[in-house]
Amino acid sequence: MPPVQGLRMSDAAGALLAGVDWAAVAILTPLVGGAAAFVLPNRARAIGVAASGATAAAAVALVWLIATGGPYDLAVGGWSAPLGIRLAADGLSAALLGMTNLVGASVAVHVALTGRATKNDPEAGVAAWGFWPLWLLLLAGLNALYLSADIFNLYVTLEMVGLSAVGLAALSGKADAFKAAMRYLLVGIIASLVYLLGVTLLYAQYGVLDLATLRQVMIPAPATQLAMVAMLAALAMKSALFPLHGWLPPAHGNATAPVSALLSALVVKASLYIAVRLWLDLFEPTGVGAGAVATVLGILGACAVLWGGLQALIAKRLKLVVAYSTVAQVGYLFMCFPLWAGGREALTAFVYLAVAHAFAKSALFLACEQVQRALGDDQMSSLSRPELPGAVKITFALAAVSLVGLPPSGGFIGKWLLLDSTLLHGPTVWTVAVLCGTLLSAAAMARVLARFFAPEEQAVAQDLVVGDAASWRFSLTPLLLAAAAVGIGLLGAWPAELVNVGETVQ
Amino acid sequence: MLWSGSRARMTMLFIGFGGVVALVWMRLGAPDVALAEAAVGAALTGALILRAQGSVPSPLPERSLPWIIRGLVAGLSVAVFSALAWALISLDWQVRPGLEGAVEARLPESGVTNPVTAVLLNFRGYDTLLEVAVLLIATAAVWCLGRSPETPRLPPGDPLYLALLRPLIPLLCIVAGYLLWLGAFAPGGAFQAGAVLSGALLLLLVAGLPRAPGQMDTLRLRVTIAAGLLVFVVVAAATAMSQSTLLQYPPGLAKHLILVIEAALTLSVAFTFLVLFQGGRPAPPDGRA
Repeated sequence: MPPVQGLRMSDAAGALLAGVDWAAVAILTPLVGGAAAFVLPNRARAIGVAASGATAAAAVALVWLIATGGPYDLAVGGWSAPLGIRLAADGLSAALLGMTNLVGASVAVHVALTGRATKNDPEAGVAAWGFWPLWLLLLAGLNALYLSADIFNLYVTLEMVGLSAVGLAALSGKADAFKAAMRYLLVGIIASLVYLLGVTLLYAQYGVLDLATLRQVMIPAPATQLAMVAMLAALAMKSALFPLHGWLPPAHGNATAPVSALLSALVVKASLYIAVRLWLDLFEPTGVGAGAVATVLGILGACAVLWGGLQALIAKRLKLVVAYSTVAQVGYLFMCFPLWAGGREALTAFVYLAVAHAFAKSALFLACEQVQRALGDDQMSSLSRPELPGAVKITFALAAVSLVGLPPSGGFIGKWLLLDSTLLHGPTVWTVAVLCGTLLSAAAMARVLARFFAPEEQAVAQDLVVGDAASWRFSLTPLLLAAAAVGIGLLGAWPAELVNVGETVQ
Repeated sequence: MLWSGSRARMTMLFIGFGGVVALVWMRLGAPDVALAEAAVGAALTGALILRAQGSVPSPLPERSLPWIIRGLVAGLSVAVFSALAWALISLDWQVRPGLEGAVEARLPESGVTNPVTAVLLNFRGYDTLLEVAVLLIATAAVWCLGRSPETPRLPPGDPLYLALLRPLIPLLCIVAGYLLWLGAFAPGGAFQAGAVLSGALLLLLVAGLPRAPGQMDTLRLRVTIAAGLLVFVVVAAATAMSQSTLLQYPPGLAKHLILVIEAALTLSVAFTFLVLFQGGRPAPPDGRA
C-alpha cells in the first residue's frame, strides 16, 4: 500500500519523494540520532546537527507531499484500525510538523554554533552533552505526536515529550532550574495520569483506541463526558492554560536559552495540538463536548491573555517577560475553541498564531541569551546599557512585531483572522479581550524596546567583557528566526490552503 | 501505609504491599500483570525508594497549609471521586467491549502464541518502540543531573553474602533467560526478564565487587543501555524499506524478529534499572572528571 494515497505525480521529483515513507523517516531518524548521541558523547554535537537537519528535510518532504497530494495515512505493522495503531496527518498536523522541525533544526544549529564558544564554561560541561540525546528524543516524540491517530499512542508520545522536556529544563545545573524542573515533572506526571484516566474510561466503554473508529461509536454518555473533561483538563495543564500556568514561568525562565526556546516554542504546542485534535475530531462531531465546554476553555484563554500580558508588563527580568508572554499567547490559542463551530477560519487563525509564535518566541529566547552574555544579567533596569549588540535589538524588534501582531507579520494574519472570527461568531467581549491582550503585549514589548533604543545618556566605562555576544555565531539564528516570524505573513494563501487539506479525514 | 511514621517502615510496607497486589493480580487471572508487579512494582521500585532515601534530608518538611487550601483540596478530591464513581456506575458492565476478540482472531499471524507478547511486540509494537525511547530518555535525564553518589555497599569480602551470591546469580540469569523465552507462548517477556536480570546486577553491585558491571561510564555500558532502542529502530527501518510499511514483519520471520528485539530489550531494561538505581552518571573508567 503506498503511504500517500491519491497523489497525482506531476513531475519526477514528486514520484521520487512519494517512494519513501517520510513520516517513518521523521520519527526513526531522531530516535537513532538520540541513541547514537547517548552512546558517543564526544560526537554528540555532530550527530545532533546531522540528525536534526535530516529530520527537518524529511518533515519538509512530508509536508510538501501532504500539501500537493492529500492527507497521509498508514496502518503501522499492516494491522488495520481497531487492532493496530494508525499514523495519520492532515493539513493541521502538517503545518505544526513543519513548524516543529524548522524551528527545532534552527535551534540545534544555534546550539552547535555557540557551543564551541562556551566550551570553557565549567557549568556547560554536562549541559553540552546532555542537550543532544534529550533534544533528539524530544524531536522524535514531537514528530510521533503530530502523526499519531490513536489515543493511547498519543499518551506514549506525551510521555516522551514530557520527560525529555523535564530533563532539558534541568540542564542548566542551577538550583532554581532544578527546583522548577522538579515542579514541571510533578505537574507533567499528574497531567499524564489524568489523561490516561480519560483513555481508560473511553476504552472501558468502547473498546477501541483509534480516533476514526472512536468517532463512529462515541455517544454522549456520562462516562464519556467525564473522560473528555479529564483529557482536556490534563492537556490544558500541560499547555499551561490559566490558572494552571504556575509551573511555566519558572521552568522556562530558568532553563538555558536554547532549551527555553524549544520548550516555549514547541513543547507547549504539542499538548495544545492534542486538545484541538480530540476536540475537532472526537468530542465536537459526536456531540460529547457541548458549546459550554468550549466557552469555558475560551474564557480561561481570555483570562490567560490578560493575566499573562499583565505579568509580562511588570516582570523584572527579561526572560520572565518572554516567559509570561507565552502564557498570554497560549491564551489566544485557547480562545479559538469556542469559535470553531463557525468554520475553518478560526483553525487557520490558530495555526498562524501557533507557527508565528514558535518562530518569534524561539528568536526572543535566543536573543535573551545574548543580552545575558553582553550585560551579565537580564534585569529590566540594566537593558539600556550601551554594550548591547545591534543585532539583538533588531531581533527583538522583529519578533515583537510578530508577537504583538503588526502587519505584515504572521502574528498579524493570525490575529486578524481571530478578530474576524470573533466579530462573526462570538460575543463582543471576545473581540475586546483580544484587543486588550494586544495592547498589553504591545506595552510589554515597547517597555523592552524603549530601553534598548533609549538614548545612552551616560556611557559609563564598563569593565564588563562584551565577549563573544556580538559575534555572528550568536546573532545569526535568532535574527533568521525573527525574520521568518515576520515573513510568514508574506507567504500568501499557501498556509491557509495547507491547513484545509483533508479537513474530515482523521 | 501512608501514615506509618518512619520512612524506612513505609518503604518496607510498600514492598510488602506490592507483593500482595501481585498475588491479587494472580488471583484475578492476569499472570502477566502479576509478574510485572512483583518484579518492577514491588522489588525494583522498592529498591529505588530505599536508595533515594539516603539522599533526601531525613525529617520530612511538614508545613501546615491554611484551612481554605485544605478545604479546597478535600472538596476537589471528593468531587473527583464522586464523578468517577458516578461514571463507573453508569457503565454497562455486562457488555465488555474490547480488542480481545480481534487479538485472538489474528494471533496465529503474529508469530507468537501469548496474546500479551503479540500485542506488545507486534500488533502495537510501535507503542513499545516509543516506550523503549522513554526508558532511554529517563536514563539520559538522570545522567545529566550529575555524577552518581557513592552506592551503599556491604563490607567487601563478607563470606556469608558471597556464599549466597555464588548460587544465586547464575540462578537469576537462568530465570531471566527462561522468562525471555517463555514470553512467546506464556506469561513472561523482555520486561520481566530484564527486571530479574537487573536484580542479579544489583546484588553484584551492592556486594562491592571491583569488577561488578555498571560501575563505570564505559562505551560498553552505554551501548548496552541503548541496544534495545537501536535494535528496535533498525528492525523498524528495515521493515519500512523492505515491506514498505513501518514494523510490518515479513511473513515467517515475525517470531525471530520478536525474539531478537526482546533479547536486546532484556539487556537494556536490566542495565537501565541498574543505572537508575545509582542515581547519576557513573564515573568514567580512567578517573577523569
